[in-house]
Amino acid sequence: MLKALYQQHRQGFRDYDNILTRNTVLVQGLCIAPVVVAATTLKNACLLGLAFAAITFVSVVLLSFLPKKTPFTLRAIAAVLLACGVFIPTALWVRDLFPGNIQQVGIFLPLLVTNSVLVGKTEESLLHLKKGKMLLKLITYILGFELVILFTGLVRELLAFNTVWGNPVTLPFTFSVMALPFGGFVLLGFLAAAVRRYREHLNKPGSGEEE
Amino acid sequence: MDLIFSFLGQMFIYGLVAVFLENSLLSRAMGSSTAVWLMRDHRLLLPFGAVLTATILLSSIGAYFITPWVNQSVYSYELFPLAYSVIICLFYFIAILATIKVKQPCKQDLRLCIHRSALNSVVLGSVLLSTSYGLDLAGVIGFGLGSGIGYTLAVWMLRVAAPRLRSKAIPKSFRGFPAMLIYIGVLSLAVYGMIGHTVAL
Repeated sequence: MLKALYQQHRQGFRDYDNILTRNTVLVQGLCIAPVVVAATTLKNACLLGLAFAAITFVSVVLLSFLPKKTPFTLRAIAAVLLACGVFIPTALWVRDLFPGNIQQVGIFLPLLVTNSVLVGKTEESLLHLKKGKMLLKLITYILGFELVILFTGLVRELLAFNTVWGNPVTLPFTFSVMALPFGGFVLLGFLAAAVRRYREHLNKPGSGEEE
Repeated sequence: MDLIFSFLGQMFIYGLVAVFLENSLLSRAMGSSTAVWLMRDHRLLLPFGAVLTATILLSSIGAYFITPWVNQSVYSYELFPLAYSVIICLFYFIAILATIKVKQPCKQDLRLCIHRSALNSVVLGSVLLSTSYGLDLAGVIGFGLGSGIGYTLAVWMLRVAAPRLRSKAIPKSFRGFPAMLIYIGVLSLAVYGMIGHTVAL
């Protein structure tokens, strides 16, 4: 059914599906660092996901009110400085929500102020759209990132520490290398390949009813 | 004379640490999306690396002098990104102004390099790391230089491998970007082997 829908609305999927077929991280290669290095547990992933959503959403919405004639350089500077402004309450908020986890994510929380959705995609595609479409696309970018970081955090915590949200889970093995950047890169590589395989399947001719 | 040699020696050691042991791309995946972009447009790699290294170096020195002031605040952790970003944006603005008299088509490429390198997580990340380690000025300069050079070397290694990562010998689903992620993963494991422990976040 999804295949038929995809084939009927290919352009729409291409423009707005940053969740699966053009995923923010797995297909477009944006915001890889926090997923690979800091999302080693589900709690860390949640912390980074919430902070990313807050910083990116608020900053892009505020940026959209800048006059369109503002030079590119000033808009780019405004994007980063606005994100730094939004980072202050966001960091205090996530510190309250996840006490102790701020240390674990280290520099990857402040680094969200220069995330590539905010610095690259905002200027490249988001600010040229009308407000409604811009918000829709921005939300799909954020959801695409959330999906990947939460899944990665869950899998890595389970395999590397045999826990989920800090609660022990009995598994016959511990794959501690998953907690290293190596584990993050390899897991992302396999997920990216799976998404590409799925997109190829959606692109193949056929109604999809028989699949 | 001893003081100069000691300064240069310390700078060199921290430079080596940043290039090999604490490589921005291979140890911390910083600037991965920019690396993907550079692999598509690799003629810009050298100018990009030069601009990136200069930006990290100047921003790190600037950050070294303002860190004690920011540290006085109870909210220093929340204020560091803003304080450092102001410095980075200042250098970014000056660099853009400096290109006004450069002729086309070099101007466009140079501005693209400045934009992609200055507003990049490698710059802010390196500045945050060098200040969080509490390095002295020699260490800050060495670490700044090493971070830029190390990142450029890592992207160059990816560029060399790029044609193989896109080859038909690799299964279609893995060809290109997924293979590149796995390749960086393997390289990062080699770096991990050199460090012998997990990197400090």
